[in-house]
Amino acid sequence: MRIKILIMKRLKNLYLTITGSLLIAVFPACRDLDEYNPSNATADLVWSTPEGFVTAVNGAYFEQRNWYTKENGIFMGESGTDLWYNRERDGYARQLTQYSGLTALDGNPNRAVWESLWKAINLCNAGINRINDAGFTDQVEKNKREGELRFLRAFYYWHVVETWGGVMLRTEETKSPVLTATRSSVSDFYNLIISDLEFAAQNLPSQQQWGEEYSRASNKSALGFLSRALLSRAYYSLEAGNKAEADSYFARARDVARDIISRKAALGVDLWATPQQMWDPANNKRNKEALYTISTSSNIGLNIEPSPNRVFMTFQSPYTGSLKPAMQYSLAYGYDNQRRLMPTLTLLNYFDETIDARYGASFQEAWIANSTNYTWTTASATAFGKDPSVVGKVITSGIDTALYITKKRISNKALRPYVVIDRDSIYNANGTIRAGTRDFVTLKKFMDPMRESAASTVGTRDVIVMRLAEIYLIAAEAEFQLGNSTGAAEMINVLRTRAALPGKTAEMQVTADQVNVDFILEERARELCGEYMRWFDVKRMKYNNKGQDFVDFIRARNPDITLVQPFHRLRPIRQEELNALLNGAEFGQNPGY
Amino acid sequence: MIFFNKNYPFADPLWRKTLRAMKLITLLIFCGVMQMHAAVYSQNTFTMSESNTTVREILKKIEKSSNYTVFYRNDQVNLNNKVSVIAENSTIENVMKQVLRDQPLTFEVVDNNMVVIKSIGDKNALRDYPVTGTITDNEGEPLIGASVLIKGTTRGASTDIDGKFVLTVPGDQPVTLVVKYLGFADQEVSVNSNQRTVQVKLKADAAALEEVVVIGYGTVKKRDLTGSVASVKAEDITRIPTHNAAEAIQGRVPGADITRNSGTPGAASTITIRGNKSIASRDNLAARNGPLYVIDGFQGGDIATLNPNDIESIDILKDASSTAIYGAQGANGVIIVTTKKGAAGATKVSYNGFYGVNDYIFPDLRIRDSYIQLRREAGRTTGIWTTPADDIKLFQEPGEDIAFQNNQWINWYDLIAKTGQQQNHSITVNGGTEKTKIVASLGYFNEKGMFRNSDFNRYTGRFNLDQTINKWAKAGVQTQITYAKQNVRNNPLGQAMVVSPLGLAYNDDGSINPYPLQGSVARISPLADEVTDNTSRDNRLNTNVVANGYLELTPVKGLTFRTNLGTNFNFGKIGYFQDKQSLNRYTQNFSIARLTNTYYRYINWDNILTYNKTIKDHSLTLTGITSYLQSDADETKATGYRQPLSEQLFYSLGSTELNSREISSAYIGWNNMAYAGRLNYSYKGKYLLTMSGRFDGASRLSEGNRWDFFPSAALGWNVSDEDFFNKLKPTFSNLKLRLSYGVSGNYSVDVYGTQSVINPENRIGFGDVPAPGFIFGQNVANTGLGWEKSASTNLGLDFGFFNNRLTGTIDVYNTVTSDILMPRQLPLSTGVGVINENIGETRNRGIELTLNSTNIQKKDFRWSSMLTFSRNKEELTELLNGTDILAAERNSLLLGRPISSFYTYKKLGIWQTNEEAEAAQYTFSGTPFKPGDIKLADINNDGKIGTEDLTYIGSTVPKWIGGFQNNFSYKNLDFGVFVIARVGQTVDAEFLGRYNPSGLANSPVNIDYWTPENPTNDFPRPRWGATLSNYAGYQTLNFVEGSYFKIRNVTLGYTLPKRFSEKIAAGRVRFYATGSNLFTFTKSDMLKNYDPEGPSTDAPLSRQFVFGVNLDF
Repeated sequence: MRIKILIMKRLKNLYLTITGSLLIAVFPACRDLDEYNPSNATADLVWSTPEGFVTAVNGAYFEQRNWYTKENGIFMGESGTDLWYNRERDGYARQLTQYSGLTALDGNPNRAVWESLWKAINLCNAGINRINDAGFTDQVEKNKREGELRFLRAFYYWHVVETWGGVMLRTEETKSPVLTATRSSVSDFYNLIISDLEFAAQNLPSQQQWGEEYSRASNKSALGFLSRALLSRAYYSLEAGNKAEADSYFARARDVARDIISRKAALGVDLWATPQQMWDPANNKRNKEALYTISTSSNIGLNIEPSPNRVFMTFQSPYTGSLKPAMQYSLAYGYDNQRRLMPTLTLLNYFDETIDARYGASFQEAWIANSTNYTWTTASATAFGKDPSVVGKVITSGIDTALYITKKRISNKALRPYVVIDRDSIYNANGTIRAGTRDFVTLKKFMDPMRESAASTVGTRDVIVMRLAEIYLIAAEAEFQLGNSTGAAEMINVLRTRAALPGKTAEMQVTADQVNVDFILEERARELCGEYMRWFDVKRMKYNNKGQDFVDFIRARNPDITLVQPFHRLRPIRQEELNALLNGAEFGQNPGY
Repeated sequence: MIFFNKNYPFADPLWRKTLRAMKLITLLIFCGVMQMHAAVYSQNTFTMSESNTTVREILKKIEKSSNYTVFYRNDQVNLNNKVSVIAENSTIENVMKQVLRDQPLTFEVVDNNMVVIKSIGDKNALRDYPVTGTITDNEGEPLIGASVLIKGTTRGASTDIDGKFVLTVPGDQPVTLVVKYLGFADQEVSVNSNQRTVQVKLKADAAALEEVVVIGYGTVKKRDLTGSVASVKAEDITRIPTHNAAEAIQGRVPGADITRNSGTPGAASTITIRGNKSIASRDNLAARNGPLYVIDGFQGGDIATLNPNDIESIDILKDASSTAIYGAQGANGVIIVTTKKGAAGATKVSYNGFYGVNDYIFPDLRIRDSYIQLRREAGRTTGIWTTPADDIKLFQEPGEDIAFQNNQWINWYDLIAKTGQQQNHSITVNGGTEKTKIVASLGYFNEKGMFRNSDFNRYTGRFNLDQTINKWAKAGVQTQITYAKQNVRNNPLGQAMVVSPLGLAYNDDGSINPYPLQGSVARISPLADEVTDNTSRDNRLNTNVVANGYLELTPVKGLTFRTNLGTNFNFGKIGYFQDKQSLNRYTQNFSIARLTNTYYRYINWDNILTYNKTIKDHSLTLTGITSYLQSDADETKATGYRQPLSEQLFYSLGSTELNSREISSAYIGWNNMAYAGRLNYSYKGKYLLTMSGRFDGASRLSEGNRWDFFPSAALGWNVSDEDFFNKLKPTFSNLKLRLSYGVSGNYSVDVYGTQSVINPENRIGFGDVPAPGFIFGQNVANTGLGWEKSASTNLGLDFGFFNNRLTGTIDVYNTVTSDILMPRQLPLSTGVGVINENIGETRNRGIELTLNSTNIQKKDFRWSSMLTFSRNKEELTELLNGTDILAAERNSLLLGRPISSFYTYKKLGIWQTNEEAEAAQYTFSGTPFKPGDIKLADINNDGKIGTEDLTYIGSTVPKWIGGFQNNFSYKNLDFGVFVIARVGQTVDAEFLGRYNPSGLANSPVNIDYWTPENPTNDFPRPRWGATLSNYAGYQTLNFVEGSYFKIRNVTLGYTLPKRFSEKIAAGRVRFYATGSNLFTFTKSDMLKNYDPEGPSTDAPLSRQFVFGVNLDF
């Protein structure tokens, strides 16, 4: 009996346990395994309303700052030309400054911008292809947003095609893995760029209409880039031997440029009266000469990085230290700890500073003492190689020159009661940079005395990507290529008149017979040096002889660059791109790399 | 239950009070109702004259002078009864008769024990009787703390330091005693009132094989194990004093490659078991290939939150047959941590503590002549320096010249680093009855780093309870609270290597000079963050609450149902403030304040049904499980800039600049579900079979591919149980063969890795107008993403010689991981980053060996050794299109090589002066090489060094690793030495990349650079104006042969002899001193004075000296 009860009890327990465990075991199975992702959004959701769609347009602006406000733009756009060399002959970014070791795996600015440009292009493609699904009811508003996206796509693609040539031309948003690519011709790129810019020019509002959002693309931005694109495009026809086609593009470039100039009031753009005004840091924001600006916000949360627009550091010579008496760090004189590039003797020689105000507006040669007064002693005179006559002389803070770094040759250095570093201290007779050179003439276009402190790396000034002076030069170059040197001289003289020192206007004028390719290049350097364009100018205008002209021009004028080769007119495609393409070998690296 | 109450020989009332308090706590916790008092006598005859004195008093007086230990029960003896005792050289019998005169008590003397027991008036009536005995091992060594229980009751005792116990048996009945001791077989012995003294020798040898090994969702006897499982026991875990048990098992587990990540206080360790299987970037590799932690049966815990003293054992499951039951998460091995459980019997209170000091192992930095010389050499190379008169050209940075002339040098290393400290205290109380078993512990760990403002504090509390409800139901909880507080210092050592050693570190008033070089604002002092208390803060608080509960039902014999509910809650806070004059912010010159709060919830619900049946020679265990995991994590982050007052740190984000604020609130959630079954079958204990299968589902994989099935099977053969083997015994005492095969899955992609998303980007504006944008995230959706699978075969051999004095295990294995979940880099021109795909295959093959031997075993002297060796060959066998994926030197994936390989130029040395002509035949990007340049291998022999010459130069994966532990004990002294070796890997020695060839910065002194007079092959010739990246092939300089062997640990311990430890009421008292990371011998000279285990320059590893104590009460 007892046993029976025990068994019954056990069975009951067993039954309960099994039932219970089955219930417990089955219950979790009802839980689904779906992913819940409330923090992230999908494109289909966000960009389906006009208000949401603006976030795509805004996002499309993001990557332009990777080129222009960081060092990338200066190295990609200015270095490796006749104008610049590494300060102290060091090797920073030497792949781009000296063509040394420029490969698909080395040369970081080149590698970095390959990635950032394509990110931006994908976003532009996504926006352009999705805008019809965004529910716009206001056609003007829709066209305005599409205009921005098309301006940006053309803007990014111009950088792509000029840097790497005819690579892949993508016009669709990447929604699924795309693992192959085919090369498109340069003219295909330009067809897209030109049509995008034409659409943008017609549909973008003026800068005034953007109000406080003044750094959005406006109609003058689109027109400015259109003229630049047409001019660039024309040379590919020249290179291909198709003069007629080239002329058609030159003519269009000229027409667009002249159109901008003739309608400058309506477009809200004008030349400053003097180069000094152009580069006065106080005139930097909403600069009236600018066609397109990348703004730096005083609201640090809106900038791409905590240290936006670093270009103010790039060309800064050191001005303090053991051999710089009576000098100390100051906001007015800038920040020298991330100096990268110094001017070549060639660049300095392009200027006749006795008549051209642009030298003084662009370069700094003299530093007034800003520290405690300094009295020359016998010991210090000896150390600095000064004449004994300077002993006892005082460099008075705020009044006297303490440091003079000049393109000139100073014969009586020893007699001058301040530190003198002249052209012979910086350059050898053949134009190369002397070993051990530390100091150089400073390009001061980008000085930023509005920073918080002298040691701050946080730039505050806007980047002026394109300005009206370039339009005059585009018009001049197009006229010259069309055989109208008179027209070219006329356009150049507008700028040279503005650049003339008081009373030197007549001496500054050029005549039609003086205008040639090298003159235009030199004039562009005088006007635009440091402004992210030089490399593109040289590769464009020195297209001939399969790149040998490009090599000869750079080697002759920048004798420190010895490694430049004809194939360097294009830069290498980042290796990861070719690795990731299933047909990478077929697609191929740019020649020479 | 028996408690001891002793008189303490210390007069100090404070000491006495403390001990009493501890006793009281013990009593309160364990609700003791009975007490037995003991007194120690110093002589065996007594002379006394007491009248009208309490029994208590007399006992106390007697206590002062005898060898006897006296026991009595509080509920039987009226201690306040007043009696008179007169004795003159009387025996103990005479005295005690008088003491117990008025009470129904009698007493017994056995050896030196005197036990007061109840006497029943009727001589024939039943009465209690005492039993005493000694428990020893086979060699006659006493076993301390062995438990002795009267079978079928909760009454028991545990042995003292001599292995002796005393126990009162109620009623004059014969009983059976059960003697238990960890690592030994249980033994039963009968006693009765005539046979009251027992000598029990527990059998260790047999027991070792009966050792229980924890496997997934269960345990098996070691002899029944078919898979490859390594176990580390408590005594080895606490051998190395550390905060993290993972670090303590380094070198003790063959097949597990364990390295400490950095010397930062509280830093974690990386564990890779049997190689990397999943492909990921180097930063992610360890996380992707990390093992699963199962703590007390609950998945997904963090071993770093555990107090190592709480751990009973760590079992590492390595082959697929052991891990397959965990399916998805077990692919990279499983580490099962079992915390200490309560044991029935006497309450044990133990204290473990240590205190130690740490100092860095790091090369000196250049200063004075060594510094000047490098600069001069740099100037000399470019021709601007020939004599010291030219120094002025080289020392032009602001302030350098003055400092140079005034001979103002700073040894930054001395100013930054100080001696670090570590201390750990932990108290564990362990006890219970047969029905209720409890362990409670409190722990405190503190480490003060070698930088100021760098420390780690951890407080742990643990409470484990196992309760038997009735004959068929059992329940329990394991709970733990860990609170950790960490202050992280922002890399002053890194800054020390980029500043100049010239200048003044301090102002005249002793305050820190933020810019040591006069007039220089470009390079801030490495001490900048110490200027005020509020200059730099990185304060990390973490509270981890683990509450696990289980219910286990055994309705009929052999059938068990268990449900486990595990919860893990983690609250983290990071307060971050960097003032505008901090290292982090001085170049931007405005402050940042940030607060990050994370809240993590994790639930693990497992149900396990086990059926166990033995019919004659057939023994069968069936296990069925369901397992559900759910994880949710929130992170709220708020950042602001330009806070006016640095004193407010991160507590006033509202006062930061309005427009500067950034906020985010992210959520990440995932869940998994699994159903699994396992069969364990054994025939005669000789032939073993294990099979398992698991259906696994993971939310993070794509719909339609979330579920998959993972099978495994294993065979075992206890060869030494066969009759034919008997003639080999005892010389060849044990042999077992194991063979297993299994497949386990892995879903190592990020959560939402199958979705395309767009992310908000707020760093966009036009003028000062914000223009929020959305940009594409990294991923492109892959709607077909499924499981990554590792198929692994394991062949194992367990053996024992000389009656198992020498035992060992050999395993060979081959694991092929296919359909690897790999973030496939899309062409950058697509504008998106990656798509996760099932592509690629890796193979890991290896051999593992463990040897344990008792070399010498004498009564007073014992020497035992343990040796582990593992060799693993990790290789990528398939990728995308069957070609290498080439990227920068650290990210390339190379077929036939380990995942984490280095691909760059191969350095042959430095071009020497006499090789000038030869050097000039090679060019890099058109420039010929010259003496003093790096000599690079021209792989394709075209005379040009370029992309085609990039090659595999090494990997972070070692060729083999080994550990060798030797333990010696002589009487009360014990001594242990532990050596580890890691051989064949290449280290990415970041500090070597700090070589500044212009001599401008403070690079390490052991960087031997080339000059015409110093024809080294280490580093290229200094060159004024150059940075390291100016040298052709500079990328290769970071990578150095990283083989090392290290005296990981030396321990010297001393256990107090019983006669001393008894006086302080302790069961066992051991003092020890330990040195960790004592010496490292590196193969490469370049790593001299450097610990290559942690290649970080920011926080190098340290050498530690620790003093500690283990106390059992």
